Amino acid sequence: MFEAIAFYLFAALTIVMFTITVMTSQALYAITAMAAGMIFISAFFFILGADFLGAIQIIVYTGAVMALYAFGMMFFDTTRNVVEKRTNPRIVFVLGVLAAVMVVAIFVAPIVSNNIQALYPIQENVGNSQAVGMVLFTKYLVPFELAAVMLLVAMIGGIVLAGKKMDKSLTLMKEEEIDGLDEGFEPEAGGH
Amino acid sequence: MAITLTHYLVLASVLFVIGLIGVMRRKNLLMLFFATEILLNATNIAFAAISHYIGDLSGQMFAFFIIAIAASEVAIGLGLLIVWYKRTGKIDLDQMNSMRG
Amino acid sequence: MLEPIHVALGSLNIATLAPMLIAIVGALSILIIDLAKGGLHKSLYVMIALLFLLLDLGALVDFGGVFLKNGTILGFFDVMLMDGIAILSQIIIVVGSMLFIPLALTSKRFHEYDYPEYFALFMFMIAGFQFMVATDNLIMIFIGLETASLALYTLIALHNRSKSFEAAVKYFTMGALAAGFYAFGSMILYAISGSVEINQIATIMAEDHYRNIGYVLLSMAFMIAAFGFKLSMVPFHTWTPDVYEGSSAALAGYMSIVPKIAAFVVAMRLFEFLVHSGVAWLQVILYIGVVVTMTASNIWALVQSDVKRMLAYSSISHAGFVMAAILIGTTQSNTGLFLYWALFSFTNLGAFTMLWVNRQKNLIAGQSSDHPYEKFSGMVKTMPMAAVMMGLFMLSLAGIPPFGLFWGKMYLIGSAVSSGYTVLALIMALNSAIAGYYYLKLIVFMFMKEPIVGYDQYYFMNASLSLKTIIGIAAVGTIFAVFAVNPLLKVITLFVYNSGY
Repeated sequence: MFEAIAFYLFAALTIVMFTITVMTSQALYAITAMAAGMIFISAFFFILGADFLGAIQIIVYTGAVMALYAFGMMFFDTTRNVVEKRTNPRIVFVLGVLAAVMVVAIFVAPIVSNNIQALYPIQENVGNSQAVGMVLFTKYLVPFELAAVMLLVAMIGGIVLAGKKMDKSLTLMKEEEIDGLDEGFEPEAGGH
Repeated sequence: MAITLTHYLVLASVLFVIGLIGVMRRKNLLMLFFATEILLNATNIAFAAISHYIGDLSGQMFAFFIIAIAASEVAIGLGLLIVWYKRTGKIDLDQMNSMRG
Repeated sequence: MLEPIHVALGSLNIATLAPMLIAIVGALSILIIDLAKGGLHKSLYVMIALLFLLLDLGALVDFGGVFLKNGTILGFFDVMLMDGIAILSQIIIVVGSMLFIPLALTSKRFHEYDYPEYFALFMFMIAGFQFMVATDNLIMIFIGLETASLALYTLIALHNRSKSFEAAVKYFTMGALAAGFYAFGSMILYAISGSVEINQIATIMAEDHYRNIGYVLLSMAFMIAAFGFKLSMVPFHTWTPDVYEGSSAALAGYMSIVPKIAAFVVAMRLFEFLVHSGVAWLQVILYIGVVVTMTASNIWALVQSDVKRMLAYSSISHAGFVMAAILIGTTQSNTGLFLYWALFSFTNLGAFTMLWVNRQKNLIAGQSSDHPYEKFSGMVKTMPMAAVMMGLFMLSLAGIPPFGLFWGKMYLIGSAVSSGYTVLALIMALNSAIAGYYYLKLIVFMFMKEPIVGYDQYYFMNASLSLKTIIGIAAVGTIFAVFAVNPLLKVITLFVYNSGY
């Protein structure tokens, strides 16, 4: 009973929040609603016994991602109203039909399988974080390390793109102009 | 009225479609990136739910890695928006029309 | 409490990581060298990248030998999977990258090559693609794909002009959408099978006799959309011409080859077991996708006024042509896929390098894009050698014997006929004929028209020894492909057959 109430409550809340995110013309409302929606999603993770994932969801999304977006909003000065053209109602209609079809399909045909076997079963007496750690550092060790490389790539990419060195474009300059640049511009580690 | 996997899958589909509507509707790139985050979050709910009902941890792992991917996408996406904004002073999809044919 | 796990080090097969680790170490050493001493010339970084790619290739060839002797190699709790198609595609990826990276040594200076990070990100990207093909774990494929894509978006944007930002943002938006589709598609696969590994998903689906067919089809729809974006299948191709036009010609050539072979391999792993299981709906969708991609992009290519956009549409068409191999799904057609792509790499990279050589920094008055057809008019009079080279690549792309791609096309069409897809074979042949028209259009411009006065000073603006060398290698690969086709076919068949495709 508790589970049902919690599910319907948080389902309604997330749907409302994300609808606001995609529909509102106020950027501030959008980002606030999105942050709230992310928190409510972590509630599902706690209901489902995925405590570690829930904590990660709050830390990464509301802590890191939302902070980045908030920074972006200040930088881009989107706090005023976002002016957008009228949406083509046909696209929304098509997507609505798609959603309806998907929902109906899921209700009509529940998943039946006798052959599903849990490869990494959730054990009763083991804490979630402990179990996750065990799987993460055995089976998923290589993806985990690759994720580290991916974050490094993202970091390098973000720094390089947002750096000062991008303000002048060697691509558009004539060769003589590049030669005329002061030495400080030529590649130097501290340049960005 | 027990909550089953079906409930969660329906919820995930609904949220996914909300995200898709956002992607189609938004012209402001920052808002469009919000919508892509919703797509990934909808999937995460479903992964955690399947993981719970099958009793298998792989789904939680997938959700975990999706969160990592979403975070790195934000870094690159905002980097691109910053250079674009420095050049043009706007971040609308509609003004990206210098190439046609 | 959990029992402590003891893992025997030998059971991990750490060697399966070697090729990717070499690329990552290469990237890190470039970063560290820049940290220790900034301001070094780009040729040093090119050499380091080439060196590590050569090591990478050596490791892969070594794996090839082991594979032929012992069969598929699994490593790290079966996450790493070094089978024949993984090794073959990695070899194509690394060789393509080795042909690409010397194109950084241009005589003009461009913004991206001023960054050591450019070369580091490039090596990270290669590692990402390698991880993507060397696994059948959906999680690993996803992370490999994203590592590579995030690096690629940055490489495009580093060209640093308005069009390249526009290209990068468009590509990024499409990529983020594709990532959403991919995640949702794999979620459904996980829901019906309880596994995230493709071979187990296939086994469980077969044991269930495809009872959850609605879910299977839904997940495949999402997967086709996700890979449609990556492979630029029509109607998910809209970003492709813009992104190719916005990025530098060298990078555009690279994008038409390396990311696509990685996506092809994943598509092979993901779709072929379903094609074989006789899920008719998937076959119909793939059939329509292949035919529409080939035909529509050919027609769009006809009306382009810019050579780079024409080549962009032509590479969409080639990708559609090769996608037919996945639809047919026999060993012969899969062999054809790799043969075609190996030959296509040389020819297409050659063609894009010719554009790169002729890249001027500022647009000529009245010119709206970098490489309009007019720029090439009468090239045979001013630059006979360059015109002959460009003509050679165009003839090869058009599939005229005895140049490289002709053999690839022959083999693929042959495999379509021998598995009963006669109509498909006919459509493929017809499309090759249509495509001939727009390739010949450029040849007509180069050989028949009078040069426009004042334009000839823009030819070979960007030429340097290393660019000419790459063109030479591409030309040799295109002309002498006729001698290489038979031995190549033998090796590729051996690899593809032994990995069960």
